[in-house]
Amino acid sequence: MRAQALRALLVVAGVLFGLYGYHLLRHDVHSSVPNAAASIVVAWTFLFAGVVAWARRPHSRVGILMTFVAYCLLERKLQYSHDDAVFTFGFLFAELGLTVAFAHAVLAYPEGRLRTRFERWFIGASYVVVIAFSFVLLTVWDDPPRKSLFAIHPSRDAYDAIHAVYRVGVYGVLGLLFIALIVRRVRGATAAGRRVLIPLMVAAVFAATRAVSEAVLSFMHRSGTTSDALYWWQIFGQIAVPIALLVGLLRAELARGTVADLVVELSHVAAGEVRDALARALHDDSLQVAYWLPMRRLYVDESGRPVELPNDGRGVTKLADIAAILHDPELDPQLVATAGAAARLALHNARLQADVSAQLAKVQESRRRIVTAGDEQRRRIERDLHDGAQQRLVALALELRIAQRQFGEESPELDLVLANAVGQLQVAVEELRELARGVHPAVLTEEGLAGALVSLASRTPVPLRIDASDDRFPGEIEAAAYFVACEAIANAVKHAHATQIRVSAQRRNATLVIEVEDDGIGGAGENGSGSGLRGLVDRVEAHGGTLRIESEPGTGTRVIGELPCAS
Amino acid sequence: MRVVIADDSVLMREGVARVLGDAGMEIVASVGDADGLRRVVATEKPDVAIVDVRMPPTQTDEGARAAETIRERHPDVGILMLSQIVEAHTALRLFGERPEGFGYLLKDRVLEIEDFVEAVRRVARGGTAMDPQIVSQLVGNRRQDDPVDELSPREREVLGLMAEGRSNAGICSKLFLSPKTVETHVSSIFNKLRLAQAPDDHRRVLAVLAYLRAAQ
Repeated sequence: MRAQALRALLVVAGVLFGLYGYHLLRHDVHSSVPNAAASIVVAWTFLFAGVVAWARRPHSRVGILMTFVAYCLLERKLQYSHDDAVFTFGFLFAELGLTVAFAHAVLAYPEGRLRTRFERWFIGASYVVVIAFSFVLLTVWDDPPRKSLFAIHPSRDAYDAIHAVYRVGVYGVLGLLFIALIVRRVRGATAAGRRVLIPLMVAAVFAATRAVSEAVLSFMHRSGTTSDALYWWQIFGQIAVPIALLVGLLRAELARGTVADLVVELSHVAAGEVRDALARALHDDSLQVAYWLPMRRLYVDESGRPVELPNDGRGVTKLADIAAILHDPELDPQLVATAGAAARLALHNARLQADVSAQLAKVQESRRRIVTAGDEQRRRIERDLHDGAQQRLVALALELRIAQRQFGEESPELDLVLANAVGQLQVAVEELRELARGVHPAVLTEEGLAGALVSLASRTPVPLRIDASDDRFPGEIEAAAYFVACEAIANAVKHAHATQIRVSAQRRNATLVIEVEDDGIGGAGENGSGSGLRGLVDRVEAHGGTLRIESEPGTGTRVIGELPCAS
Repeated sequence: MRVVIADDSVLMREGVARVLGDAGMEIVASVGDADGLRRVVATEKPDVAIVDVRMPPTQTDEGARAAETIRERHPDVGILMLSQIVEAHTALRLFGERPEGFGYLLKDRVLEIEDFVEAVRRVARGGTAMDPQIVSQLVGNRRQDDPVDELSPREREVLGLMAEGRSNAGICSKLFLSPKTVETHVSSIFNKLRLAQAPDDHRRVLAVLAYLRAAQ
């Protein structure tokens, strides 16, 4: 309410100030009616645009800066007063509205803040330079009837010389610098940013070239007509800026209108499409949504992978407790927040989905680790059996065999006992070897899947045709494929009465496909013979794969395992 | 005949040394790891090295890899690999294209002392010793319509012994057959498998192994 009252007061005061300025122009410097009216209308346009922008976007200081420019332009008229004090005050700040305050408002658009250190330095220094020049000009002022309160050494020549330097330095050099900053700003902006920036920036360049032309023309003679044309150039250049500001505002209002449409659209949108819907509504293809998981205290993406919020200048708008929208920094944060609020329900659902995905990924990962650790343990047991017990038994048997040779000839009984003992040990060693092979076949580690399948075939009583790739795959993938083949072959032999088995193991893209086909009685899923295979489904799925069993009665059985194996 | 033994089990080394010593061979060195094996082979230039496939530090295939370098650098040194498990795939990889002076046996074969000593002698002389289990893996599981099916049981037996690397004389004594009968079987086998008769034992093993491998 207070801000509203202040704005109303500023409008009323500005209008009255403008009327007084018009009076000064008409009676003290005898301006023509169109010129004087245009000059006041420019100031009022700034005032109107500034106050509207201020009211519509209270968080942006652009409105205030525009209002400030309006007052600077009105204050300028005081220099035409015949009162010495009013004249001196008017003259001291007369240039601000045409130069640095104007540049400040333009460069601060749209948030009302200057973005780079250089811009802040440039604007700050320009305020000092412009006021300092005006002050110096007042010290040499010599143009009766107005008298400067600061006059020290009145001299028209000195005034002309300093004023020429001012025109070249401020209008020329700083004007060009200002144009360069605008060009850089527009070129660096994203597509969405440009849409916001372009109208105002084009108007500002139009106005600034007028200032630069002033510097150029200070080297030439000026005729009355060119001076008149330049005056209207200046007027239109200036008036274009607040109008462009209003256009920009209107566009943002329209964008908010599309957000209203969004509310309707987003009420139907699936959780997976909420990002796209937001990107579409805000015209920002780079838009991302990071979902907040309060239990884990971190942000994740749609599929549950942790996300760091950027602090590299990308815009981040947080929607309390649900998500953060990462977007083009040129977008109005309020607009983004409005869109986010509209999409709240869809975002909420998407967050739940992301949370579930994240947990699923963790469970999947731990399942894989458990199976892999199991494999690793099996491999170790196999090695320990070979290098420990088996090794000792063979050495022991050899010792007995040597004893048998040494003493057996003397006593046939001892010979028999020792031969028997060696025979028993040989059986034990063979059994141990079979046990180790069942735990984890060493040939799988050493020769890979193809070698292990050949070895398996040699111990299978049914003819087995193998069509296996010689490629090596990750150990846990080879193990899973091998155990699938083992189980399927065992079932084919034991339950399906197969007379022919075909095993194929081939890489297809990034997948190892293991396929076991027999010509047995089929119906593996029904009589319970496939239960071992169903246990293998867990192992295959733990590695992100699938296991399919096709087994109609009378048509044989086909087991197809697909295991992802990024190579 | 000069022999080097490489096995990480002291008990095993001593047992093998005893068996071979009794058979009149000279044990010039016995070591417990692959580096030691490479070193003594280079200095002692033995006729044959008995090598355990798995040795420290990784207990995977140190012995096999050491054997590979020895075969490259000292082609005259016979290598007899011993392993707790034998696999056809591994055997064919180790033999490569050169079965001369190379053997690959299950460790328990040392218990059949006469056969084992015979195998060591054969490898030391540049012959071959292939474990019977591997031969039966190769011969046993054939596709349908395989010419091996046409062989008589006796001929299959003879084929297996040829694949193990035995000479005609060795086959004779193993099967208690006359040299004449063995020769007949051998030529019949070569005919049925449509293989050209090989001029000597080494080539014969190679031809048989190549045949069995190709048809696998």
